[in-house]
Amino acid sequence: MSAPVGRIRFMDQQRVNLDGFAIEDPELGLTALRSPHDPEPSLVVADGRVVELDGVPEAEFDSIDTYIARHGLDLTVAAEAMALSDVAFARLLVELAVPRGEVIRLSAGATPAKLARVLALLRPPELVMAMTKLRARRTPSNQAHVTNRLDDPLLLAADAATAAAFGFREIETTVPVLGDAPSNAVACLIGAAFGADGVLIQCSVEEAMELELGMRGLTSYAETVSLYGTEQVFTDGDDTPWSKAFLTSAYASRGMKMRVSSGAGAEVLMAGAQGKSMLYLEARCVALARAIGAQGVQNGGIDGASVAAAVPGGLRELMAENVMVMMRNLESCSGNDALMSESDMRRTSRTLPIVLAGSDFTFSGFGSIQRYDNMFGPSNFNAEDIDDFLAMQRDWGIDGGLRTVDPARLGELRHEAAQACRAVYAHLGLADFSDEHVELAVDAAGSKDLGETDTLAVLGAAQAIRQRGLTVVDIVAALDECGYLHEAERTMAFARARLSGDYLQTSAIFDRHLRVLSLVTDPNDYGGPGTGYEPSPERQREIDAIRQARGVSDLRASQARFAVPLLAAGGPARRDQGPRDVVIGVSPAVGRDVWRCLSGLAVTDVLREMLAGLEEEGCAGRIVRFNDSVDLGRIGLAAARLAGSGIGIGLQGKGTALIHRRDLAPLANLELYSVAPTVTPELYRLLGANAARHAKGGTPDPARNPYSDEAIEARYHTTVIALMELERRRMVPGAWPEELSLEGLT
Amino acid sequence: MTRALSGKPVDSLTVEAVRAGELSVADLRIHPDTLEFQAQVAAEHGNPQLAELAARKLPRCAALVTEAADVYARRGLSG
Repeated sequence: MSAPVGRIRFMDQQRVNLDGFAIEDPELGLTALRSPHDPEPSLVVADGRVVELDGVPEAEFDSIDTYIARHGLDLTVAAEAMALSDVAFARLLVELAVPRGEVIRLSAGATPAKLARVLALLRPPELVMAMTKLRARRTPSNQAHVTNRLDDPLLLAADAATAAAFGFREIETTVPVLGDAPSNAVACLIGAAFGADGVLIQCSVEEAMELELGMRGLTSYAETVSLYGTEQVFTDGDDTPWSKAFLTSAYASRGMKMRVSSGAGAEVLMAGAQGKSMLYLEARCVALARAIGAQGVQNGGIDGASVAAAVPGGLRELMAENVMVMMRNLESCSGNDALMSESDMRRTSRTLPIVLAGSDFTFSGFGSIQRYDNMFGPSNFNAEDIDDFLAMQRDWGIDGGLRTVDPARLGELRHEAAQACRAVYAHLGLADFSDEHVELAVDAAGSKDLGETDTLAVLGAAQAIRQRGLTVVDIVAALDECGYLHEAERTMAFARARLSGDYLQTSAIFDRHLRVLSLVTDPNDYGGPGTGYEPSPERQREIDAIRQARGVSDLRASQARFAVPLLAAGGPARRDQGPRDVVIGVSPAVGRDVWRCLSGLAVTDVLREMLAGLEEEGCAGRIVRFNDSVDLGRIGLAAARLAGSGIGIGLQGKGTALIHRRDLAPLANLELYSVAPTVTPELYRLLGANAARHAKGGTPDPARNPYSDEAIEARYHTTVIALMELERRRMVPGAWPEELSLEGLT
Repeated sequence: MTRALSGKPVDSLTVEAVRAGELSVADLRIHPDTLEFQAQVAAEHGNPQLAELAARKLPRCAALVTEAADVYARRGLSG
């Protein structure tokens, strides 16, 4: 076989081809929405007891069937729900006249296979509509991962403060070294208190340790109890639905918010899918989550996201999982927490619909730190993508939970958090860190910027926290005694707020004012345009005000920094009769408000090059400012009409330039440099030389506009608009052009 | 007035109280009455299972253990 043609070889090199794509294979569970081995939905109830569930008679129930049948279904609506056709049910999800509560009521009586069939019918925009309408909490929010390779407490504190300041309402940390867990929990607790009020903290580790940290008030939620869709995978891990139920209860009964984890691909990866589709298996997990009393579910692939993404319709399946959680009236922590593709386009495509719809948590872990520092593995979005995400929120005018932080304020927060963390560790006799370490942690973009650190000191601190049984009370006391009264109060207020138990309800978060937002206090009331969540005017301003946005006054100030004492006005422009006289006409703001072209060249340097080019070819150039037009064609033509040779050059402050002749129409120039950002000094010199050749009646050497594959319009259009506004403000209709000084330019 | 597991009213749990050495972790644990109240709220908001979990009482737990034991035996699961 011959090698493929260049076009295919070129396509092969694109990053998307690093991803694995699987041929659909139901036998292996490699099918997203439907498998021939999925059961027909069915539910038979006799004497108030489920005796058949999705084609399986009671005598053959496995442990998952048993648990769902005993605890997971509302039998008072089961007959009504199961009698609906799949299509009729699916339409309820997107019909605006049908309130969320009605869908919730019916879904409680629907079996796993039924909900899987229903959700498989929704097309992508319908999934977006369904998510918008069915999520429990009206206000969307977001969760961050805060971890690093070294478990460095000062960096964790600075990064937790950063994540909290960016708007994340939950922070999930974990460890590369299990023994470090108590230190990570304490560092994140301290750091978050600097960033914002009411940020929930989780330390995702082995269950006994996680529960212990929670009971000492160092963490405030958990989401690591995993559920699976087949009994085989459960039992391979020495688990059953009952063991998971007891664990779930252990958290909830101690006043800790808790959700379970599941998601497509887990069963496939463990060779335990039993030929079923990913959506059907996940439907069993979600029904089980509801049955065991979890307040929410983290799903949407999670560790298996790339398995779903490898099969046809996989991304639809991932989003359908989240919507299913919402139908079961649970909090959705909507995945997007595992890098599912090497392609930026594919990973954005995976996440965008959920961002647009809004979820209780759009990410079950946005990597607020760099990819390499994410000890869960890289998330689908990471620190590398925070500015992209902020821009996406602004582009679509939606609330993805994040906000811009003033760079100076962020520096202060990181400094305070790292300092406080050091002070608390020293005060409690846990570890001592140097001033230099604090400074490195404050400035670090990631743990690689810290250099060598003493990781044994971290382990020692963690052991001390555990062995001495330190609690949130000790941390509050230490903060207070180290002079951080505000953060001590904040941490104490948060501990008090948790005692009301309001945050145990479905989809509960604390807002920045320590108010609980949940299914109970902030129920989603979406019913079409004009209803549901809308950012407040204040919040919308926050979303819109990204730090890169610039206005005319910003541009005026930045141009003013480049002003030089050249181009002085020297009276009304004159006509010249000399045959070698060429006029360079410049726009109204040149030499007054505009000093630097889009290419970064100084306007005076551009003029120097043009004058030199003219001189090389034996012509004499002069500079005239035209104050009555911002139109380059008119400026160039007017310049030509003043010139003895009849040839003029037009130059706008932004750097666009052309050659004109006095007998041509304004738009019919001789040469044009239209792409100002890419014009070089050599090209401006060539333009001068060519103008001179035109003046002498010789043969010019036309320049080619340089080619660029950059998003030149995206980069420069906003600047062009502001530059043109500066030009327009200097315009005086009917004003006579003025001669500008050549001093310093020749 | 919400109380902590220790019986102290929530409002008395302040940094001043920490300073005075009056607080222990029992003052930061949730009270069973609070769980009971939240269970009612969950039940009223369409999530009876969450309600049951939050308010899980001894007899209910015992029933779950029995149910688990039955299924473990029937399915030959490791316990």
